[in-house]
Amino acid sequence: MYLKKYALILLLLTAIRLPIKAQSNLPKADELPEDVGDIAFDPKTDRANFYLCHKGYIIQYYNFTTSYQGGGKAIKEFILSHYLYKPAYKLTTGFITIRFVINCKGETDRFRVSQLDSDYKKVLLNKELTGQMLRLCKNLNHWIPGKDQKGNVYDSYYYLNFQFVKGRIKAITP
Amino acid sequence: MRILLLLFFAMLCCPLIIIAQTNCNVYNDKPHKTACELYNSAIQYSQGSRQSQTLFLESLKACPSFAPSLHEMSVPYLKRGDFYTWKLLIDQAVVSDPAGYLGTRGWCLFKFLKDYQRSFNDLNRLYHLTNGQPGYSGDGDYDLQIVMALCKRDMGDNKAAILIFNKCIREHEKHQTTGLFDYLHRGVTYLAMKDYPTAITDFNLEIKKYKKLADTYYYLGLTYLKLHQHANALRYFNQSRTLFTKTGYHRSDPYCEEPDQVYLADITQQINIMRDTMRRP
Repeated sequence: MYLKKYALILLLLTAIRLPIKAQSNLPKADELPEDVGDIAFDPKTDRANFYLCHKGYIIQYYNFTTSYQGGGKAIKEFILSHYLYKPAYKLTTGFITIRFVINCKGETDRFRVSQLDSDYKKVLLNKELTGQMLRLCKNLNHWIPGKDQKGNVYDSYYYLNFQFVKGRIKAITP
Repeated sequence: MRILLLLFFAMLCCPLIIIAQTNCNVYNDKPHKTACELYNSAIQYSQGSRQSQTLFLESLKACPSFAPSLHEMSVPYLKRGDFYTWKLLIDQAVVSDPAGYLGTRGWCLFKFLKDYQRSFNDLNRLYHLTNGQPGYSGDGDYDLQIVMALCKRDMGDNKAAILIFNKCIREHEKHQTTGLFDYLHRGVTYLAMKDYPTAITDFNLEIKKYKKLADTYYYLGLTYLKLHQHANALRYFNQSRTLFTKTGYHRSDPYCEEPDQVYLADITQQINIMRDTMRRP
């Protein structure tokens, strides 16, 4: 009888704990940026002379269709034709996402790299491979800045996501 | 008479107003009700802004499993490439309300991440939860069964893809509700399977559905090229280019590349190859 009661209490406690545990994984209120995905200037990695048309106001690539000459096809062709596979990458399966700013002149800077395993957990993937992907992104030089209907050009955020399976690029988005 | 008419319109409008006003009252318990009210406040602010995200967090403090807040809070992370945080939030939404959010997660895994296996798993689970009626993709373009077929195709199982395409398209044909791109995708799949006559049938059905879509004419051109009917192929490639650059439309999306999307460079490249081939003695 007591055993049943304890089991029930234990079950209830577990049930209550689950969402609390889940809640603790949420982004923290005091750490939220002004806007999701904002990249603050970092003097250690970013160019101080990187020109921004609208300081403090960087749009998302999909707001005014920031794009690349030849579209996603051209980005993929460039990346895939320049990517160098090495046997050391064989154990790398997961995602490398590189987010950056394209300014109103079509120049890029403020690159940030995030790495996930195939279960979307944060990991550190092969350092050399990550470095190669970052260099490739920095070498994409034909960006078309976002433009509104009046022809005003904007600085915008963009990202490239690379899906790797055993060190080979399986998909590039968006 | 005027008063009667006014009363009639008032009666028509009343239920709508009541539904709008009592939105959060559908929840009987305080945590859900508070979470719902905070959710309503959060969506007043621009997506991804600190004000909005803070209110979603408040909402989730009131009720940690409130799926609409978990989902809505996840969206800007997805759109801006923070897939870790997106997955964290959308996973919790799915746990809270599988039938409500499996479709969203499956669709986003397909569209933004090309994670076809996980996408298929989600949509298949939803398919069984909903007795074969999983609903539509987030952008409204697809019955999610079509997305399941595309997942199968992109994982290399064309036969399984065709079975799913056929079942879904057959159902919709009965009610004249086939999707805007269903025949196009099935046609491209038949093309990949080297079943050229069936591919042509599908592309012609697609043209009936969406006459000015440049992408379809490009694939028709490719199919005729495979059949060594070069004059037909060139005709369709030219038609595709005209539609793409002048009088028609082509597949594009502000967020991601579309399935089977064709680029102008693809069309031009084929035209150039064809011209070179036809010039040769």
